[in-house]
Amino acid sequence: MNKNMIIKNFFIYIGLIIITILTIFPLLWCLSASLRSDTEFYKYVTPFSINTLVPVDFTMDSYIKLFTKFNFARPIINTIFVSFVSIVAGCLLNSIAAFAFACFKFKFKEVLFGIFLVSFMVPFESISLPLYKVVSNLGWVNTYAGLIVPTIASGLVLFLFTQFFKDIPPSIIEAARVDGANWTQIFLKIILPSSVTVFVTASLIIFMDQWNSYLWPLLVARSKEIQTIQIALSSFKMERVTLWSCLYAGSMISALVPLGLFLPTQKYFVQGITSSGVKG
Amino acid sequence: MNNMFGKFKALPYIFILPAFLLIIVFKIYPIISTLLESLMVKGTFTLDTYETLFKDKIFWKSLWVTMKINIVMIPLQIFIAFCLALLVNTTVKGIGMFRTIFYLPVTISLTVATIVWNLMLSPNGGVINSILGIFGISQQDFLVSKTQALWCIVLIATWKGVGYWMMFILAGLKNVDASIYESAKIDGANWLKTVVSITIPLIKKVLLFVFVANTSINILLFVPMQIVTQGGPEGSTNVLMYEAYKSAFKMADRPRSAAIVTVLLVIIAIVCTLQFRLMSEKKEA
Amino acid sequence: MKKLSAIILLMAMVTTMFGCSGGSGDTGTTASQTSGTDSTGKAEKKEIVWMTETTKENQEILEAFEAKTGIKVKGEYLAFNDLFESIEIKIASGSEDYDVISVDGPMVAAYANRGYILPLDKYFTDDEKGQFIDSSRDAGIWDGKFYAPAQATSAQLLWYNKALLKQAGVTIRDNDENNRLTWEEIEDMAKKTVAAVDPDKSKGISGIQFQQVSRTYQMCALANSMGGKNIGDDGYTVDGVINNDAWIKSMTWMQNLYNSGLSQKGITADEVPNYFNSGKIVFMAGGTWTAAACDTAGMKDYGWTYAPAFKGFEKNVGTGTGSWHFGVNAASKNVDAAVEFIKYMSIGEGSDKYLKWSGDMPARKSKIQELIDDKNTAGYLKVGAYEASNTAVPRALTPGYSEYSSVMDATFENIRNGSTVKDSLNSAVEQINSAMAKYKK
Repeated sequence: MNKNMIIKNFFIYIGLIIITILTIFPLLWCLSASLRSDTEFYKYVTPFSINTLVPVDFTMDSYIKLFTKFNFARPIINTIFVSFVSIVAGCLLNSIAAFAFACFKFKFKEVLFGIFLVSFMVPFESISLPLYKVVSNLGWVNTYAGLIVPTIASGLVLFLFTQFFKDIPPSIIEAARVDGANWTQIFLKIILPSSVTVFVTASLIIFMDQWNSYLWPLLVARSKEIQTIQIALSSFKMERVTLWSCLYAGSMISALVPLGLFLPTQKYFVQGITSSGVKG
Repeated sequence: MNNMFGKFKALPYIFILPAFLLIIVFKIYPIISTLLESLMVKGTFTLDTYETLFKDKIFWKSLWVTMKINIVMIPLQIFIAFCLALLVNTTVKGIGMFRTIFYLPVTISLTVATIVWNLMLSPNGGVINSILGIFGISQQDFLVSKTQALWCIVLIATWKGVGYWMMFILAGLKNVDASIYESAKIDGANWLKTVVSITIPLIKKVLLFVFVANTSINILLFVPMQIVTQGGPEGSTNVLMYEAYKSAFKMADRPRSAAIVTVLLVIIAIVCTLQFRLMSEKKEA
Repeated sequence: MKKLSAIILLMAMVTTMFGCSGGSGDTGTTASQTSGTDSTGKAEKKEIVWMTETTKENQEILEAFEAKTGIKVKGEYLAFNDLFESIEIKIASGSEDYDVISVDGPMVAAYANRGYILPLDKYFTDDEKGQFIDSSRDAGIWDGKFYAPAQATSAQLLWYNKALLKQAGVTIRDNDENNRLTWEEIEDMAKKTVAAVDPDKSKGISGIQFQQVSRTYQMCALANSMGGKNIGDDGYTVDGVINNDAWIKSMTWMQNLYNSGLSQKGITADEVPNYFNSGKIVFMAGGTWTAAACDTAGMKDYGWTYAPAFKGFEKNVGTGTGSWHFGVNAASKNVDAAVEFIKYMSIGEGSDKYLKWSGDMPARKSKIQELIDDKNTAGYLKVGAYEASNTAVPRALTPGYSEYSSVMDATFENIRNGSTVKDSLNSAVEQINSAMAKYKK
């Protein structure tokens, strides 16, 4: 038994390490490019040698420039704020609607659900013009509201919630009703605790959507005060030159923030919360 | 199963209302107004746009490219994501770190990922070619080759995407009661059998979500084409979504773009309906 | 009771939602209010908004303009590619939020045709229009109307890496505008140099590269240099124009550079300057701005000379040109202020300031002459000034330029990657024709 475990773990680690290398290699490339001058990077970019990845002349210049010359902190804070509000509002709104879809039977359920599904099957690029008109008419251009409100209701997030809520046994809810719990209590005391993983996952979707969102902020968040991170990154690509090292440095930072957010949620993935006894 | 809530007739509608209003104003209305663009020319209703589109051989070639890439990419991504999720669902030491690492590519923007992969896939002694060289394989053209470019894009999108889908499947796995596995173990079922006959049915709902979401996102993928290949070489990576993007933003032909998007929507809807049918059949298993 | 709690829940939800958007909207509203009240023009202090490209950001010039006229200009700076998309969405949606937009030269006809920008004939006298060099003035005209004065133009010359040439013992013969180097000579020198400095091709050095590879801006110039034209005089015809001998011959020559391995494939136009700065390109056709880019990157071994000619076509030399123009948003509510700003920036003091600051090639005759006459002008700018006023060929003047360039860019890339030249050009003709059909209806 013990010997078997060791062999099994050995193979697991081999697999983990191989995938880690595949995953991380391109990222090391980014990291290395952010720590050297563009000229040096392109000097060694091909053919491949050790210096393709290891800077000869190590410099933090691009990171310093990001925060002194380009004021990169502002877009980071903006995007975190936008993401946070979107997560709170998005989780709440979509989970409540999903609760209805998962646990109730009502007329036009399929049609309504279909409408939500269709909403993420159409590319954003093609609805950007009419959407811009709507938001412009609401006077939300250049406001946080313009960035946040149109993204709150998300068919994808709602779909995710629905799929998970369907697994909650109706008997529990029924029992709670019999005990005299109202719907708020049921939502807060039964649905929420038994779905922490899905709330975390949904938050990740919303966060990554806002974090990587490009075309929409480009259209509605035009002033520097509310600029978001991807737009700040794109400004390093100019007509005649590209500030590659700044672009890579900015990308590294923009990858670190979600990571910082992801790490604390790890614990919800370590142990299934189902064993807490909520489920039968 | 839900009949017991039947008496609260208005309740579900109230729950749905806020999200529904927002989705109507910010998604459905723009979608309808876009789709109408494909049906209206100078204020009159017409099917001309579609007629022209269906006569256009670029459209058909593009449709074929779209099908080719997705038939490979969607199952591939989900399969890898599923394997990864099983792997990181184990409880070996340091698994949290690996889980985080696997998620890392998700946090890099697709634009930057594409730029980096383009450098790595350089036909002039790029990393990948150097590695292939060790095994005596001659230099490949990769993204500038009309036979390889599409598969290079599959590689890029898969590298970037699997971590994302892994998380959902993992969340599903974590929602499964561990005691079920224990009982399977006692029954002496082997690993593969456990996965196929116990794990998969148990996370069917999550898998359905992953299939539907992955299908929609991949069929609409066009950033790598926009950044490196411009649909080339010789249209070999010219997926419909890129064609739609070009029509709207470069070709000053919004109706054509809207018509292509409509076609895409129909394709996605058909594929997803099939997925719903296939995966919901034995729902109550 | 149950219904009541449901309603409370709903209300809590809605308040949270509006709480969020309202609260967050506050900061935003203040921002939009300032621009809102100003742009209505009721206040004594006028404000106009200028949508432009990132590298045009110079607050001093805008402040100088405000000090002079009392009109405040708010610049909105977008990355190069984003600007085109923004215009296609925002200006196309009829937004009044913008007054002045920066228009890429060849897009003038398209935006004029789509009604995005206003004709400015009544604001610009013939004298004022005559201040621009011909290629820049013509680029601002569509259908006989003057829409967009130029901010600057651009010029192409030949750049080379002196260190690599020296290492290989290759010397460039004396040459001037009447006795240009030929592309054939350059190819020859490039081959010799690469053979000497990178014999086993392990360093990845390219003999010849084009700074804007696979972009109409620069690649059309090759065909122009063999006497080819970019588009028919009607602004639509391409059959027989872009698939004639001049095009086939020049494109075949270009393709051979890449097929023979003298030049490396797979390098994007964004990256070519970096490869040159890193000493991995011997010869590069590029703009006057190359010098400044090399200086910034610490690359000291660059040299320059006049744009090359093809052998036997010495009189046909064509070089890429054109740059940004100014247009007035057709939906603008501040046309007069916008025009005042445009004049200041195109033919007034603002233009002087801008040219001095940016080092761009002037689009005005007098300024070009100044460059040529001034002893202190850098040599490459003098060469550039000559090319801009003598060999520059404007890009295709057509309302379908965006379609044209999108098809052509892909075609150039296909040819570079080895597709049959003739078929590629014929296919380009077919695609452009079908894209142009809508303009002829």
